[in-house]
Amino acid sequence: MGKNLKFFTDGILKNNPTFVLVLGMCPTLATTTSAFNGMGMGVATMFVLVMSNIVISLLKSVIPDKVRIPAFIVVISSFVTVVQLLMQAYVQDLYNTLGVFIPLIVVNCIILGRAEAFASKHNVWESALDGLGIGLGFTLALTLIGIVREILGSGSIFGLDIWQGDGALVFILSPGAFFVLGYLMIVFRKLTTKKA
Amino acid sequence: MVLMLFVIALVCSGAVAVVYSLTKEPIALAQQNKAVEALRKALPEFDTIIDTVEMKDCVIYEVLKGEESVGYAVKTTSPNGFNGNIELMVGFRLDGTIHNIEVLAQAETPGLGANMSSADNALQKSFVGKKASKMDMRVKKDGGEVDALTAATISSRAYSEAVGFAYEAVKQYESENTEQRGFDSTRFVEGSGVVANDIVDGHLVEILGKDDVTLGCVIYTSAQGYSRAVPVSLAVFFDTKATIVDVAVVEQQETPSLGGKMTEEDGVLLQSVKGKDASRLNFALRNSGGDIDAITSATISSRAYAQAVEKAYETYKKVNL
Amino acid sequence: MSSQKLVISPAPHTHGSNDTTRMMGDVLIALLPALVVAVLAYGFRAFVVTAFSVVCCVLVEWMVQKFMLKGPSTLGNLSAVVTGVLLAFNLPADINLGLVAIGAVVAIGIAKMTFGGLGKNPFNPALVARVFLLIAFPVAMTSFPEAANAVTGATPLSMAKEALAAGEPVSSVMQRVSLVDMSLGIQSGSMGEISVVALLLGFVWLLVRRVISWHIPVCVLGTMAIFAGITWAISPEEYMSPLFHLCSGGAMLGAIFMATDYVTSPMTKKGMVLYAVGIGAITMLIRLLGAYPEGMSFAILIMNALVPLIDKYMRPRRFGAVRSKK
Repeated sequence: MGKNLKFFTDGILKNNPTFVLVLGMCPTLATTTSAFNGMGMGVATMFVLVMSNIVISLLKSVIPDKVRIPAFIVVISSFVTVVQLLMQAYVQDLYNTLGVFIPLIVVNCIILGRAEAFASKHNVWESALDGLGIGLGFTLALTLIGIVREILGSGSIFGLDIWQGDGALVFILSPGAFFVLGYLMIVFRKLTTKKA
Repeated sequence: MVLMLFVIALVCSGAVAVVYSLTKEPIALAQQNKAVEALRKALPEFDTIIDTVEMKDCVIYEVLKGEESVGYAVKTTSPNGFNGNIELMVGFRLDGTIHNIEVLAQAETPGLGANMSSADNALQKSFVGKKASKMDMRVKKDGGEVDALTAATISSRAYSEAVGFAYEAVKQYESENTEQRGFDSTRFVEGSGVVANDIVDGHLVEILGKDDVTLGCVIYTSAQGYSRAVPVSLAVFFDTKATIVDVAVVEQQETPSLGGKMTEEDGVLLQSVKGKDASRLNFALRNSGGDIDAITSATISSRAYAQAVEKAYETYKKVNL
Repeated sequence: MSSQKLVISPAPHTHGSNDTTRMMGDVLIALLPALVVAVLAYGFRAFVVTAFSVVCCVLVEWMVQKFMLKGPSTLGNLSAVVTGVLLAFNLPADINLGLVAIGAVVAIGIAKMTFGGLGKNPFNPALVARVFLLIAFPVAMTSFPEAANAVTGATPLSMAKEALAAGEPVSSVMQRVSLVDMSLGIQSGSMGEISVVALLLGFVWLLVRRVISWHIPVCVLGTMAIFAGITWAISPEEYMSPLFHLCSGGAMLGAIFMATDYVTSPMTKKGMVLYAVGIGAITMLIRLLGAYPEGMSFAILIMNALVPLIDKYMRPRRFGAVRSKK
């Protein structure tokens, strides 16, 4: 169990996809204009990641090596389509805000990366934990960036006003995403290396 | 190998198909709810949407509360936003007043142009409650009367433009669907033309002119006659001094041998209003002490005719010639 | 590292007394005339903003150096003071002092010290702060108080851009602005950019003291003049004249004081020319085609980013080296 737990925590800290692996930057920068949007994107990605990790590790023995990448992509894109349809049906506002970045989860390198590097070599339980850990790490990172950008840029947090009026608009715009990501990365590194 | 890939693809697409069929209805419902929600925000309270028409790149929704028409909501788009299209739902009350404006879609700069979506912004405020016909829908910087959003002139221009499109569409819709029914008012005076048109109190008003001189205006009105299905629709031509120059029946379905006689050139109805000063006219029928001679045995039709002319005169009083 | 700095230049080297502190001191002296004009035009408030900006910049530099980088104080080289003055010069005179403080944190904290301090920053700190503030607080940054005697609160550039976009011909636009006023400082704008004459005085001082060479300012302004000249020659009623472009906005301030920053400009003369032409061209492209009325700060930052590349391909030949024959 200790080993399994490590698969889970690694995804959040040591292998955090955003702050350490620096993967999936496109949605990270584009969708974190508010805490809620960042979290929505993170959860959608996490769902796809966990499901594709489970299915791929189940199928790893039957998928021929030569066509494994196409097979992975078929699985992943199916789950993305499922997420897309579900979001459209039940959280349409969020779906409209995230727009093209939902279908683009297909090409998020975290997911294919975990499928190739982890799920195709580990059993279902471990893969699910890995997906959950990495997904949670991604979600937490996106939410954190979203929170910081929302506070600085709109003066609110999860849509609740902290003060009246606007903040520094630059943080809602794309340059702000780079600033916040960069400085959060510094803080994250500082905190995690101290521990080690 | 290929077979395996095929099987995987087949299973996956099957799974997606199942989810699709499960979510199809909720998605349609969610989209419809969204549209209706926008309508509710743009218009006064209503219960049924009776008509949805596409007009001049806009979509017009006509809504009812009970049996009364409440107004129109127009879905309109300007392509000239700072960052792509701006889509609005503009609600008009029957008298042409803008009831409310709801932003359906925009991708303007956050904090600047995007403020058009926030509650009580300057842009929205400059439109809401104003008569569309009486306002200059340009931003103040361009000489109009619309307060632009701070530091977002381009977005504000596009927004105003979209509202303008909506109003044009409503005018066109009204002229095609209200009392006008394709009636050509220029036939009252040879060689004249329609200089301007407008909706006043829900009635289409056309200003007639010839050789740069304003001749007067034609006002389209209707009133419920003997026929339940089709009201009596008139085009009443006033000159600039409130004299009723002529009246034409645009549409009616009264009993042909009785009320239907209102279309005749020398009919009693036409004769009792034609050439009269509307301000001195009592629009009640003769047997009720008024000035209008009724068609024999067609009191209801005649009363409708008189009412329609009276409505036209009431509207005329609000038109500035 | 005391004030003894390593100055990068092609061999051979001679030893002189021109260290960073002296150079920065000369830059400050060169900025004085513009400051005087700012105070004349906008009153004592201009001085308060400038002083506050300098204090903030120095304070941020001191704190970062002491508590985060934990190195010896670098305040002696006066570079933070220069950044402070330049930052203030890029702001409207009646700006909220809180925004000035934020600007100082961005300029020194983000643009300079994050990269390791003076000499290691790829972008001009004052400009990074200006652009940051411009995007973050567009309303506060573009609401200029009326300078003494100026006709309008809009800058000549934004006024001209609006009017031309609305189809007004140049001749009628020119009736509302006066090039003479613009040269003397009777125009709306950021504090330090309003007087062409004052800035040119500073330029002469910098040349005399050999703090900068003529290449960058002359090439920036020359490129802008040629660019504007071509469009003006083609259609004089649709495009403003070259002189208008040179006198308006941040052209002078940017070309003389911002683009010439040692750290963020190329080392060789050839490189400087290329860099300066780039700045001039991008500025004019933004002015004529972009959404913003002024493009000088963006242009300089964009070319700042290309400086390492320019330096790499325009490396000076080593002294005595013979060009290899191919």
